Amino acid sequence: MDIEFERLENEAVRDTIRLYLERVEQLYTPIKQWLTTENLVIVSSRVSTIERQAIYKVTQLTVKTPEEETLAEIKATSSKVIVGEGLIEIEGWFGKETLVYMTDGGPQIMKPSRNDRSKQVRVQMYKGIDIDGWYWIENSRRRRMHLVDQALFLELITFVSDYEF
Amino acid sequence: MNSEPLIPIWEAYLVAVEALKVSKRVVTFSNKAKQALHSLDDNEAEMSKRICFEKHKLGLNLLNRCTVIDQVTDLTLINSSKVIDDLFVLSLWATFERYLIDFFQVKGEKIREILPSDLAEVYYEHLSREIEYWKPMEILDLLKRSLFKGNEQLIELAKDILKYRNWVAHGRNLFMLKQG
Repeated sequence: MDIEFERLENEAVRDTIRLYLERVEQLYTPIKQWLTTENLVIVSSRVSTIERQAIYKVTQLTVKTPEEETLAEIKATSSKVIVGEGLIEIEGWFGKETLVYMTDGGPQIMKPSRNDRSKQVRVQMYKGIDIDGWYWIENSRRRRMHLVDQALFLELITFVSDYEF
Repeated sequence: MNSEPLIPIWEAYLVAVEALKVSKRVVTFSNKAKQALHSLDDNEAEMSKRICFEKHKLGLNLLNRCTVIDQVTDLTLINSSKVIDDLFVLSLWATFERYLIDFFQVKGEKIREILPSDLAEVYYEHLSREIEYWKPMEILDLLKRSLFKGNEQLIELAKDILKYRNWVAHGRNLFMLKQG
């Protein structure tokens, strides 16, 4: 995959970004199908993503109604994120929702075991991560993540645009 | 010492984000009501006309004495959201750093018990002032080697957050090449 870099801090970052953009494309394919089944129009465009370590071009999907009203923009905004491996943002006039790529069940922490407070056990920081993929954090205090599927994705479009399916 | 100092900041953030959402809905409602009123047909039923007038009046009342929100473009609103996000990153980190420094200053109070007592107070005062200026990266390393043995990756996450915070605090400097 050829990536248009405007700025790149070092070569190690290049591989991270390549993997990230491949994963973004992997989600874009079902996204286009889900939206097309709902009679929505998708327009692709190239925009710049600005990160601390690089500036590069990505594909942005603009979701519109058949009447040309823009509902949301879907964009790859960050290859580096604190608890996961990349972000996709869905932004509409009403709000913004974020998807994170999670691998290996997500980050883990040591906590005192419930049965024996003097022993430590390793637990997952977030609930709901079973396979590698794109997830949505329902509530960062409850720490539950949901794998993105058609139903959830369309709900997120509603969240950011107030559009009722 | 408050054991969950970040909660009120986080809640304030959620309130600010949601307040912006509700405001956008109000502006849309008000604009639609104005349009509906202007395109009213004389032949409409009395009830429809009444409802139109009431909606328009409601829109005007909701935006009474608000001079900015109904004039902003979508782009301004999106930018405002980004500014709010950045402000809260800074606020959350500042609160977190304050919490860490308070923690070390309180632990340092043991110095007040040393002898000679003449030295104790002055020593503590000096130490307390010095702790105020401890570098955040060094505090995190200190914790990594002590209280976070076994959970070092949490400190690494905190360091990542600090780097992001520093980038935001420096105006998202496009030429920021240093890692720390």
